[in-house]
Amino acid sequence: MKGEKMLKEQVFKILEQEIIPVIRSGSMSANDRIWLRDTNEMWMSKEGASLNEISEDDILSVSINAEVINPDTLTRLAISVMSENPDINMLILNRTEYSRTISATGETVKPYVDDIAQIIGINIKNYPHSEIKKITRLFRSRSAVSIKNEGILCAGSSPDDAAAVAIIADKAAIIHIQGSFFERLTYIGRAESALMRFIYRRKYSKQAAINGRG
Amino acid sequence: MNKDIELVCRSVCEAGLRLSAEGLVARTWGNISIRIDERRMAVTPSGIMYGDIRPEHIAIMDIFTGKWECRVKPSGERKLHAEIYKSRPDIGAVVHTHQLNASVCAAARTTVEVMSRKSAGILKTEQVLCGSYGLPGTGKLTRGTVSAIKDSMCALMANHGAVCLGRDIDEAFTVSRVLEKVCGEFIASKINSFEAYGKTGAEKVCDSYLRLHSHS
Repeated sequence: MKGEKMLKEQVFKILEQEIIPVIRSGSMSANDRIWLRDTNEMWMSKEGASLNEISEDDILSVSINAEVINPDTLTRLAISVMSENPDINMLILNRTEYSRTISATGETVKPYVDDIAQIIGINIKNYPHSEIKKITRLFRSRSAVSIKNEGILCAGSSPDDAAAVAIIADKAAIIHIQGSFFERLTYIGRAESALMRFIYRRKYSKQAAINGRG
Repeated sequence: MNKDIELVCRSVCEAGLRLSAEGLVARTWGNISIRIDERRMAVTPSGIMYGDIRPEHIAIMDIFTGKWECRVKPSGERKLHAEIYKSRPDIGAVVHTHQLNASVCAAARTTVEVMSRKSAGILKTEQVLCGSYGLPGTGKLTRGTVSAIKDSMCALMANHGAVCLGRDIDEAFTVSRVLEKVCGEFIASKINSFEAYGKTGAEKVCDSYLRLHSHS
């Protein structure tokens, strides 16, 4: 994602390897959207394109730095999130039934299990897409934000990382909704969630360093 | 490395891939161990993707002293595995998963009623208990989980996931699949729709939720 610009075929390969298996597992839907950083530009899927049957025309390249002419509202948000957060290289808008339902109610999703705390953060807050600045700022400390009536926007430093966030965002939405039918639904406190995320990220960065050394 | 131990380490690596492939965990979440003998177990490492785990990453740990040998650190839940082997000499493999339906029940910290006799036979209980909450890797979580397992083959771990046991690794996987089905049926009984659990029936569950939400 840094260095030489990717070819469209490479974008397709990333979709095939990292995204399609998650759609097949049900943790993402075919009408999710993606934005992938590539040098100073980004590749994006068109609104309405099915990621399962994506064609060359459905993938576009836009500049992150320059003024984009008539971007759709979500792309405008994606440009802001990527330009303000240099560690974010891929965004996925998760639109599974559960994610969309959560985004429609506007509720904040809590860290009901430790993997939500570790990989997403202390909660998934909801904002309308027009709140670009607030959403962009939230991505400094969280990996997912619920966008009113749109789904859950998931961020990662790589396609694999973003796909993992999308899986956990869907899981969080499922636990929130299905858990509401129980007498009580408990969640991990703010301080413990923050601690879990800190330890997890440190563990992951160490592992990335080991992998980088080969 | 002794040939028998090498074989056990290979089995742990294969089980890790299976854990991922069956959707019971993602990334490095969850962990697996296989008993080697009365005193030792082989356990997955901490923080390495299942696809990248090699036999040399599997730690050999003394169940009684907690001492381990490996060039990478073993799973943070190794004490939980060791305590299970100590208290249950009949157990040969332990799998800790983050499976979806069990996670819903673990967040509700509920006792799960096992509705089918066949499932109860496999899980060796008519009620799956949820252990008390503790931070990952702590004695509190270990004690709570071990006491929730009792003589059964599984337990929920509050706000964490599930732990499934077996005389061998195949049985531990069977237990985790049956537990997922049992938790799914239990969730469905709460939602009052026998079709609506897991990823199937999502529309129905979400409609019920939105109705509930609009009235609250």
